[in-house]
Amino acid sequence: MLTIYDHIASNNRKTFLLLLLFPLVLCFIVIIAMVIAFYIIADTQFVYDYLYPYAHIIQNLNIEITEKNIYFWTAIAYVLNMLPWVFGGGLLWMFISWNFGDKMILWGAEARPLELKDNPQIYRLVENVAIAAGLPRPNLYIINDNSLNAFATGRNPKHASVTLTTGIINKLEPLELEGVIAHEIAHIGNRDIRLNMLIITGLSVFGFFADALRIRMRHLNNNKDSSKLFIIYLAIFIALVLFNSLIAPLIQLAISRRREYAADATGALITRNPKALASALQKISEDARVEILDKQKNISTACIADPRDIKSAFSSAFSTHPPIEDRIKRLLQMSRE
Amino acid sequence: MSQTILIVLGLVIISIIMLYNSLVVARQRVREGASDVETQLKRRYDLIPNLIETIKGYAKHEKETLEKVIEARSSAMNIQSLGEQKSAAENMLSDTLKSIFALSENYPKLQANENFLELQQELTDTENKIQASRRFYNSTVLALNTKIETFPGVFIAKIFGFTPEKFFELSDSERQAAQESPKVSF
Repeated sequence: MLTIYDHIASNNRKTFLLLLLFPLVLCFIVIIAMVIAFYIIADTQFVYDYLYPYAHIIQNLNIEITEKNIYFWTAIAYVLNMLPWVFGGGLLWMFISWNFGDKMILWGAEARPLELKDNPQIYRLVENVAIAAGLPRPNLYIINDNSLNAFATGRNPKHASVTLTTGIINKLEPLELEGVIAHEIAHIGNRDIRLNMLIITGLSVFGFFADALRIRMRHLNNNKDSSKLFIIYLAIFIALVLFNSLIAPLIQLAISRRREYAADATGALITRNPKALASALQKISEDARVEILDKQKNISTACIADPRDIKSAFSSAFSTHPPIEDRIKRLLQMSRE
Repeated sequence: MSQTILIVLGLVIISIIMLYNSLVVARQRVREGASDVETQLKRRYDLIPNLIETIKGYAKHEKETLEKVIEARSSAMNIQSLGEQKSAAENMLSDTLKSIFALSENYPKLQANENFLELQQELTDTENKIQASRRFYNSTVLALNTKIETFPGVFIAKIFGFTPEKFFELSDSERQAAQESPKVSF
């Protein structure tokens, strides 16, 4: 039986792996792309000139450059030179997202805070679910929208918030709403939010590099080497775009789907009432569309149901949420045990 | 050959340490959960004298019921550790509180009293909080007991003296009624 602590441990492992793998994969992609570009250019003198500024790096490694391996080592030298910038830029990006990510999301969603005096029943409900989960009470926010949806933000339970639409508050029974809140608090407790935010920012670093390359390609001088440089940049650019559109969504998809099921299960453990969450999901599935969240792709993964409309959800090729019927089925199975 | 023996021995010792530590952590979580429950129970004990004072002014004839509450409260407070005795005492206290609130229906002036209304809300919320903390406590107990009773933790537990804890059961009639009533049919 998986407890909340097993989920945390598993997410911690994944976080560590991701933090390690993302920069490595980026370097790997750049190296392969550069080597392919060098082969296409087929001009050893050019490559040698290209290597020259980084030659000291190779010398420190005591590598002998031959005709056979010059492409490979030039690519590596280039990447090694860029490494501090990659790590530095990535870390800065992640630092910003880490500290301000949830505030930016709440601001973008026009969420307003809910105090005890505004709606004591809901406030106490959230407080009590947090007690049952063994977590500190998250901040509570409201979005003015008639549809039913909710999301959680926050890098750790001490700095977490749960946001509910006015629609979900009005249209669900107290026990159903409790199930929804438990699902969101489960995301916080399992540290899903943190993992999600790191993935999003990590992947956007790839996108950032692709954009930077695109600008660089446009501003190449028109000398004899510019066409060769163009090929190199183009190769890297294509590699990054391929990664971003094919592999990155798969990574995100695999992780976020499993996390949704896990949050359902953990939420059911918290309330001991999976039926309530199942019936809440049934009501939510009929109307989960929240227009203001259209622009924010990252938040849609943290919502309890996909807030984007059907067209855009399909056009992104993959849905971030598992099908609601399946989630309801699993919850009902739990209640029969 | 002796090298492999040393490696195996090292691995065994490391596993024992890790298992022991995870049992300690599980036990600490149970204690944390118990303290949460006790905090909520104490909240209820603290609210009750105020409730009694408010009622005394309006319902002088209900001395017997009020005394039952006071009695139930002190016997619950006297039982320290969570267990069958404590849950029986707490259930008794809940019952006496229910009868007070049922009684208050006969005293419209009392029902209109703001203080009384606020206390009623606070007590209802406290009941919910007691149930919530109890659920968390029971989940920590489940985790600990599972670790103690399954292989290989069962050996470490015997050697170092980890004992399984008891669940804390409380009657939760309102919640059960709400759960069982068929609100939505699939």
